[in-house]
Amino acid sequence: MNQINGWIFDVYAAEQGMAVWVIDPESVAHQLRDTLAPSFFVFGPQADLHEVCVMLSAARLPVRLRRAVRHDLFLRRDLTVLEVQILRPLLFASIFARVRNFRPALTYYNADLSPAQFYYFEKNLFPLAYCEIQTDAAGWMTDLEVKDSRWDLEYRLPPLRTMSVRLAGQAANPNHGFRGELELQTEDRVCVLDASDPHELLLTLSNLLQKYDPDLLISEYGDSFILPQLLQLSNRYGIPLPLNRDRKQVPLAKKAYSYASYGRIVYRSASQILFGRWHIDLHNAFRMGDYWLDGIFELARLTGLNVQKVARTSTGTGISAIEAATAYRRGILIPYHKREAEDFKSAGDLIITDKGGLTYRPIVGLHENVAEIDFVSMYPFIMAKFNISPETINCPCCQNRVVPEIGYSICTRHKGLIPESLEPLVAKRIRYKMGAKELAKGARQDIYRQRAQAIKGLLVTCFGYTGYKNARFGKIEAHEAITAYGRAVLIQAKEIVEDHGFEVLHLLIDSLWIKKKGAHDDEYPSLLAEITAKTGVPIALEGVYDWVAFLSAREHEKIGVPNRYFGVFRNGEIKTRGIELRRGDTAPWIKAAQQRAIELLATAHNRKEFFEQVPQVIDLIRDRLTELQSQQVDYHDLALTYRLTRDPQEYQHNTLNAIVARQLSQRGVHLHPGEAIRYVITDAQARDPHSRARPVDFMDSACRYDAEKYTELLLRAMATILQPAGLDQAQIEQRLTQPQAQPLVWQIPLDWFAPINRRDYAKAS
Amino acid sequence: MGRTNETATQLIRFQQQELARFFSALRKADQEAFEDLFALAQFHIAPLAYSGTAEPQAIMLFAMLLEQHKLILRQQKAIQFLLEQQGIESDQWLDL
Repeated sequence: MNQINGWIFDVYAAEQGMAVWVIDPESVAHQLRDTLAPSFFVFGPQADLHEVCVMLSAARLPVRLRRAVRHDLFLRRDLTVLEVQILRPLLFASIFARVRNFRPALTYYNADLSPAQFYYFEKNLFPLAYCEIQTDAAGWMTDLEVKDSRWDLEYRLPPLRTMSVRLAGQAANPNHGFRGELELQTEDRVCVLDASDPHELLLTLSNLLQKYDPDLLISEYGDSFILPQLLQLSNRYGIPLPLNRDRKQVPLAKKAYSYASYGRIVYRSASQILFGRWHIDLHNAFRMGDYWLDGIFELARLTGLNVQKVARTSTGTGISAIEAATAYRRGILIPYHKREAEDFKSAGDLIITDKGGLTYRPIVGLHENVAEIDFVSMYPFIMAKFNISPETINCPCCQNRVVPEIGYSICTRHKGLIPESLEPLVAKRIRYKMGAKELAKGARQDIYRQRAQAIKGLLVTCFGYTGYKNARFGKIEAHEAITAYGRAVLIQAKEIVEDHGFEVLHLLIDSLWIKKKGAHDDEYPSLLAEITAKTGVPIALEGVYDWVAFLSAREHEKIGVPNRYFGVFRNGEIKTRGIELRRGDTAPWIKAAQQRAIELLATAHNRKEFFEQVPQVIDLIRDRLTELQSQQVDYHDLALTYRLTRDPQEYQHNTLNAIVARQLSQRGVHLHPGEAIRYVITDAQARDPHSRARPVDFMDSACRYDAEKYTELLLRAMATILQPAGLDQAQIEQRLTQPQAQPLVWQIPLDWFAPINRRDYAKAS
Repeated sequence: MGRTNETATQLIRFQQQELARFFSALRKADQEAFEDLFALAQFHIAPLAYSGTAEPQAIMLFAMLLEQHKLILRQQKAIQFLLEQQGIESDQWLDL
């Protein structure tokens, strides 16, 4: 008998049972074994189920068959189903595929969960849980006690040894032509391996992996390029490469794919999953810009998905896993394919119910002393508080028509699956958010923020998934009920703030921007408390802006664009939304210039000072243009990034994107829809399309960029920032050439859209 | 949510397109006024969406009217202010 205390590091189906990797506090990795016999369920006519049993028995597969009774959430009743228990978890997917091919018309449940998920469900366990484990001499687990909770705010993590793998030089995509030496970095050293001698490279790498034995391999383009290339070399030269800790396994390669999401084509590159060791590719990790390892670890603990999977999949997969865990715990069948059709609705019903959150157009202009108040996790909170779930909407037992505006009923007898899954998540996010506010700036605060951000992703997706046609527990009526409550809550909040004498400048789904002449900070706590009490949904003060500028649409100068603004809070923090520096396709150099311009304006505390800062911004533009026009800007900083919406050969017109995609294809680069390409505009007006732009990987220092085109892009970005001062692109250009131009005058309040408050209305009429 | 229904912005655009022939026959200055009116309707997309009406044209007209009315009120106030500054009684200006 051995006892091992440590963190669950990796779990997967092995030749016999499950392989469970545990890392102890001394950083030693232990490979253990455990048993698991997961089941999927089949529902259908008795005769068909009998034939499935006959087929499985004749094939002598390691299965146990029995009749079981389980609850179907959508049918709202118990079903008698065939339980197919798989005695070797490694064969789960293949046996299920065999049954499904045999009788595709039957209904299947619990069939697309991974053995690791089953293991976590069965053992009431989660990735990175700290446990006390007893094993026998052969390493089989005999007892496991979890000494950890996924709902703890503070938890210890295993001491991890990390190794970074990348190609030396600029972090460019090697699949698009960039090549460099292989660079390995551990905590104490950096090694550059010479690729000209592959034999030597493989031997050195193999030695380093064995000697350092990293738990985590962090790569740049490891999924799509480095690891596949290394494995190919390893095969060619017959030198084994111990990328896996588990030598019996080979790295699991998954193919690249593209899919459409919210009208956008998304590309997921191939992935290389290791066994007994983690591999995370910085360029193939989901939402890597929002959080890093602390967010990924939090998601793994909450969702019960292995770290390597959680790092690569969307938060939708995460929330699905959480819902599946709740269903499993409650003995509810987890649909393999959603079968639920939308309820019948008349055209009149559709007009009433098919609406989203309320999105107002802001009042364009520069506004002083504006408070932004936001409902905290509004939709998830509504789902949890009002018990909104697919099985609770329009249930047969309650006819209460409680949902505002659309009159749906919600079950008051049974707690819904979604609210049960969400409640602890909402509470945990609020605790992290509050905790981060109380903590001093530093590493701990950053960890709390990352974790809160990671949970936010889950919560946002949870709402979206109720309306997603393929979501296992999706139901469009639940989605409609959530947005109906959201609209009611926002309108109620609007009325309360207006009763307190505030003007509402902008409303956006769950946020309000409000101002009142002479408003004091001590007014907000009571205002927020009143809104929270009356709506039942908590609201918090995001901050008070010294000034905020709501920007106009291109088509009409007086029409504001929802969620397009920039401003500075009293504490000096800048907030920007929807402008060039927030866009992924803006060149870094232009982003930096726009950011600097906002920083100059941010020293202003009011409208008057804002106007006084404008000449400094004009000077900044002049300096940047001098640098640009003398070809001094590094071309990497001028690279524009675009995501391809189709295959390169499908582009019909000579847009810059199409030209660059074709150039890459002609050089043998295989591009996929949704994949990002980066290029520099070299001569936008050139007769030869190929001369107009060039992929950044094909640029060199001798190449010239199109200074005129970048001037236009810079001026456009600056015109956005100076729009509140009444300057458009032409006026900025005029001021650049005439430094002694007339000083700016304050704009008279707009003639349109400015609210008329009740007192004024009474006086005027 | 735009799953089945058009968004309020789209409804306004469709309405504008329906009047394309009327628009093309207008004088240039009137065309500008026409576009301004539709911009006024654009300002109230959220209430238009919230209204859940099968006949959004009436709401669009109300949105335009509402902003016109606000403009009149604001200008009334401005005139009143200017008259007071000039020391002119409220109905004296009729005799000017």
